[in-house]
Amino acid sequence: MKINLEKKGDVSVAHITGKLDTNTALFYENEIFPLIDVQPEKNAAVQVSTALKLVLELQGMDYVSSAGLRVLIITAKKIKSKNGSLILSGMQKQIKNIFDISGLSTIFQIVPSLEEALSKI
Amino acid sequence: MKAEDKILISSSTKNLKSVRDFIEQKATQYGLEQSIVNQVVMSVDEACTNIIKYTHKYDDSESIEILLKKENKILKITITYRGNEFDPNTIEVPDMKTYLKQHKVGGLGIPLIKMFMNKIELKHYQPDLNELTLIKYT
Repeated sequence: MKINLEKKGDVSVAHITGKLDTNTALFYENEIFPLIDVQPEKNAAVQVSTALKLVLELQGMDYVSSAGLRVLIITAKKIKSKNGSLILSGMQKQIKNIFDISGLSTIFQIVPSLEEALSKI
Repeated sequence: MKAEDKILISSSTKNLKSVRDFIEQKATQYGLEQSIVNQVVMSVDEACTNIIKYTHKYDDSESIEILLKKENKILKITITYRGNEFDPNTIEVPDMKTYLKQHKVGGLGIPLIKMFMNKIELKHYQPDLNELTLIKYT
C-alpha cells in the first residue's frame, strides 16, 4: 500500500493505493493519525482554528479488510471528536459494495470524485 | 458443474495475499459474478486472519487448509485447522450506527463474514481439529 499526502488549500488529501488490510493497517495509522492528532502550539500568540479537513482519495485502493475498515472508523471518530470533516472519494465499485452491505456507507460521507470532495468539504 | 480446489498455507498473515489470490482466481473460474467473488474473498480472508491471530496466535508452525467446492449454485469453502473450538455463529451482526455509538471500532471480521455468506458451519473433532465451512448460494 502507498499513501501520498498533499494539501489543497486548507484540505489535506491522502491518496491511498493498494490494499488496506491486516498487514498495512499499522502503516496507515502511522501516516494518517498524526495528521489528526497534531496539537496546536500552546504558546502561539494567535490561536487559529485548526479543524482538520481530510479527504481520503481511494481510487487506487483495490482491497479493504476488517482491519482496514477498523482504521477508517477510528479516523472518522478522531476527526469527529475534533469537529473536523472527513470525506472518502473515488471508491472502487467492489469497495463501495462492502461499505453498502456492512452499513458503513451510512456513517461515512462518500463521493465519487476528488473534485466533488473538495467542493463539499 | 462440479469443481474442487485446495490450498494449504502456514499460519501467517504474510500468506493472506496468496489465499485471496487463490480464492479470487478459482471463484472467477467457477463463473461467480465479481461482486460475489469479492465478498467470498473477503470472508475467507477474515476467517483465516482470525485463526492466525486468535487461534494460532501467530504461530506459523501451524497450518490452515482451504478447500473450495462448487456444485451447481452452491459454493462451499471448508477451512481446516487445529486449535480451540470457536463457533462464529455465536457472534451477532451489529447495527453499524448502534455499534459506533457504543464507541466500538474492532471485531468486525466475523460480522462481515455473516453479512457476506449465506451460512456458516463449524465442526469440531476431538481433541483439536476444526472444520469451518462458509457457504454461499451463487
